[in-house]
Amino acid sequence: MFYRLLAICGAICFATVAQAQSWQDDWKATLEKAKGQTLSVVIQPSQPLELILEDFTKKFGIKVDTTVSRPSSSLTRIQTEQKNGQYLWDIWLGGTSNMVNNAAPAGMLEPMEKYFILPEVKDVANWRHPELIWGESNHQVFAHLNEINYAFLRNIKILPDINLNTADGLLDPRLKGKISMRDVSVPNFGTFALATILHEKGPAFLAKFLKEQNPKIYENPQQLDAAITRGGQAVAIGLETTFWQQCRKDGGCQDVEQLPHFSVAISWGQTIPKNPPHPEATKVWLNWFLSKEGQETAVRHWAKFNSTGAVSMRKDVAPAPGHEQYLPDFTKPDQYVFVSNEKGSKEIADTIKIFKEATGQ
Amino acid sequence: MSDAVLQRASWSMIKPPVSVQSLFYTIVLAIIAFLVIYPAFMLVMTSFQVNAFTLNPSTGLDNWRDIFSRPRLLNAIYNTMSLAVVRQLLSLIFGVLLAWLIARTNLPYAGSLEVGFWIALFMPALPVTLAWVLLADESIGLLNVGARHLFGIDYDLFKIYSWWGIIWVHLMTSTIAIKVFLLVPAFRGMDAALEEAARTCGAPIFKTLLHIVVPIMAPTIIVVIMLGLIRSMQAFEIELILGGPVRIEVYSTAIYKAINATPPGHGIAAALSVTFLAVIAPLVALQQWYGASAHSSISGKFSNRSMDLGRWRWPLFAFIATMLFFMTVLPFILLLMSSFMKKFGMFDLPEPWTTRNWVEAMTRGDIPRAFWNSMRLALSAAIIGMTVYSLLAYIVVKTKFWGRRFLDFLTWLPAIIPGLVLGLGFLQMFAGTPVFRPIYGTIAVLVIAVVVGSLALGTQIIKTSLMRLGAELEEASAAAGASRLYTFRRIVLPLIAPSVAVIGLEIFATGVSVVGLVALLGTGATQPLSIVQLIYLDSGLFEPASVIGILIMVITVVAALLARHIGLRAGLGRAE
Repeated sequence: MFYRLLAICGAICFATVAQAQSWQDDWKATLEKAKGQTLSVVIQPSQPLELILEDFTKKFGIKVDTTVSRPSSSLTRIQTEQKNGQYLWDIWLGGTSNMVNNAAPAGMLEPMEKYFILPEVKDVANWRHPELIWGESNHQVFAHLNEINYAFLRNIKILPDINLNTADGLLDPRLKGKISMRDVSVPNFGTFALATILHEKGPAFLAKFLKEQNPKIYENPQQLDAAITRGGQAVAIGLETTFWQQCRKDGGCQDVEQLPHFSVAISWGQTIPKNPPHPEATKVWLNWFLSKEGQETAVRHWAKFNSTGAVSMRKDVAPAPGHEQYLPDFTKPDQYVFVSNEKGSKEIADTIKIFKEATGQ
Repeated sequence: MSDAVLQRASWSMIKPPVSVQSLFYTIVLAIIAFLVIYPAFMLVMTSFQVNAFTLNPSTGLDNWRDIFSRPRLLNAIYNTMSLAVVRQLLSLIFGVLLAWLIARTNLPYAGSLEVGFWIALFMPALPVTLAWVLLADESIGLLNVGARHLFGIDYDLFKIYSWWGIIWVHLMTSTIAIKVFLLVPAFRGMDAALEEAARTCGAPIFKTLLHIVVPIMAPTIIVVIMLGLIRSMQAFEIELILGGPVRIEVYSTAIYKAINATPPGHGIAAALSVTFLAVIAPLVALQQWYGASAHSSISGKFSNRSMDLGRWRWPLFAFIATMLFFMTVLPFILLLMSSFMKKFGMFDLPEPWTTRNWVEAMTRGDIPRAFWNSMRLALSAAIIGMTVYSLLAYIVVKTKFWGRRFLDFLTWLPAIIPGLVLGLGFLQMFAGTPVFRPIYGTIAVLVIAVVVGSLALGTQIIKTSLMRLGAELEEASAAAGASRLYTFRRIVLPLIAPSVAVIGLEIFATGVSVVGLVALLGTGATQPLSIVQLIYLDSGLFEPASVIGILIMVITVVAALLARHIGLRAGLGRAE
């Protein structure tokens, strides 16, 4: 009996040591192979992402060729290239909506888990929510950042007695002609905002709101900003918190407040387009970026340029000071519309459909 | 006679079935045909693609059914047509008048006024549109607020969010400016003899303009109208910003929305674009038919004496200067202000002014590389563009090449395909053709795309300049023993140089500010300044984006002034 127990313990110890040896050897070999490679990355226009990539190069000496492109352009480009047998990208970084809703269903992406080497990345216990780190069910899109944002603003000087702490207040007839919003026929922050109404109150309520209140529709966030701060509008739908916070920081927007009842959860993440040309460099990037060190770097740079969202899905990485409130409550994730993952995408599609029907577009 | 002499004689009598020149022209035609037909063909194919973003894409008529069952499509077509026609009509009247005044009369400071229109053309469209919103928004526009406070007017004088608001901003940004820009060199090349004859017969100045100048310049004016009409029908940025709040939708905004939908409706956008192409193509054919009947106006007895405006000189100067104030000075002041403001348009902040936007934009590590890329792209596109367009125009106008009519038609094709989907066609061409693979992702691809994208503008404008040249100049050169190339270099080129130069400038400006094509075809190492502007705009940082907008505009204006200075020193501006 004793010898049997000893043998089992020995086997376990050996397996553990061998496993440790195995990932370390693998990591070392990957680092070695990656040294001569240039990581080919396409990113959404974003300053923090550029800085994070610069830090990666400094740490590992691996060159990065960064191309800046809007997600819709990246999607079109990668798909066209792949159709023509060209596989040019290692990593696609940015908002995950296009990756999840369009690239994954079109079979343009790689399953990512096989690129994970470091145990701290593989271990799901290190992440705040084991499911919400994935944008979709095939584990092809990793959402390292899930943040809460508030897309509804109100001007407290205009119709201050209307209760807008619930969605029902939005149907107050006095608000007719006093609501402005982004054009949501294409996905944007306005779409995300309306999806929260759909999530909470259902399609009939949303259609009623759009038909009865007849909101003024703007294409550009600057216009919406002007409408709520100076244009006599009571409610603006579809302006990111950053706009409002920067304005407050500069001493303005004193009459404008966010409506915390309507919160959306947005995701930033990355994916590996099919057949990356530099798989080792891709592995090094992915494992470093999702490690504690990488995520701390990401949070630090994110906070330099954004007043929200400097949070990580890693449990051992604290949000940047002042950003704690933008971390979703992962014990009750159903309260949010996760607009950039598979679950939220249906609500986004329904929102656009209802908007088009209600406004005749 | 010896056998050798007989053999030489018989050789000289046998003409080769295809001359070297004809072969060269055929190769040129084949290259151009490939570059413009391939994207157009891919566009047609895309219009039949269904479920493109799934694992099971198929082909079918779904996209076509979709566009023709849209309830608001007719309304969008009506808006597109009405906006385009009114805009073209107004800009034509002003454009012809202004170009004639600048080029053909003794208007004071004509050269400076011409540069003013160049600047208006090179102003960044989005910030300028938002500047007009700041000025003429219904309740909060500075002009309306000023009118209320100063004159006690209790209603809104200006409504920028309206049909007329869209017309106004277009006229104030590029619609008039581009006509002046393109017509001035052409007017300079017009023989003044007929004008002088009309004046000698006692015709008033404006009657001379209407009955003598306009008919002589008709081929050029028609090309400019055609280009303007196509551009108007494809415009979408101003329509999106100003039309959205009052529910004015145009055809091109429908294309824009289809492309940006989720999943992207490339098939729908392509179907809409093919329909557009089918509508415009007959107009192009009509223009070709009319253009063929045009006659030359520059001969050996050329005169370009200016007409005396008499007492109208200074009032007209004041009118044009006021116009330019609204087109350049006012928006530029607002643009400059926005670059120094914490928040654009918010004058009531405790400390509204800041230099942080400039510090932020100018200290970016990638600015030098982006600047260099912009210069490489713009300069290469301008030089190659000028050469290619001149060659094409020459083949179409001055040779008897069998395919010249077809070549002429082909040059219009990239203009007829809406710019929003042309980039997609180029992407499919460059990614799908083995010959382009070695240069895919390099700046060369961007240069080709910019040059092909402006094919219609460049070739057609230079073509109209060539059409005005009488054959006698070249015949005289040939009679004196000059080769075709020498005649082109020493006789033809100096005469068409002003038109070639403005085309070069326009291509340069396009190269510096191009965004859509770069996003689809460029890579990190080749990305220019316009992408830095995009980064700021997409990050919601409008103010630093204005800084980059100013920088792009300054580069273009400096290049324009430099080119003008060099041109004047070389005597090109006065060559005609």
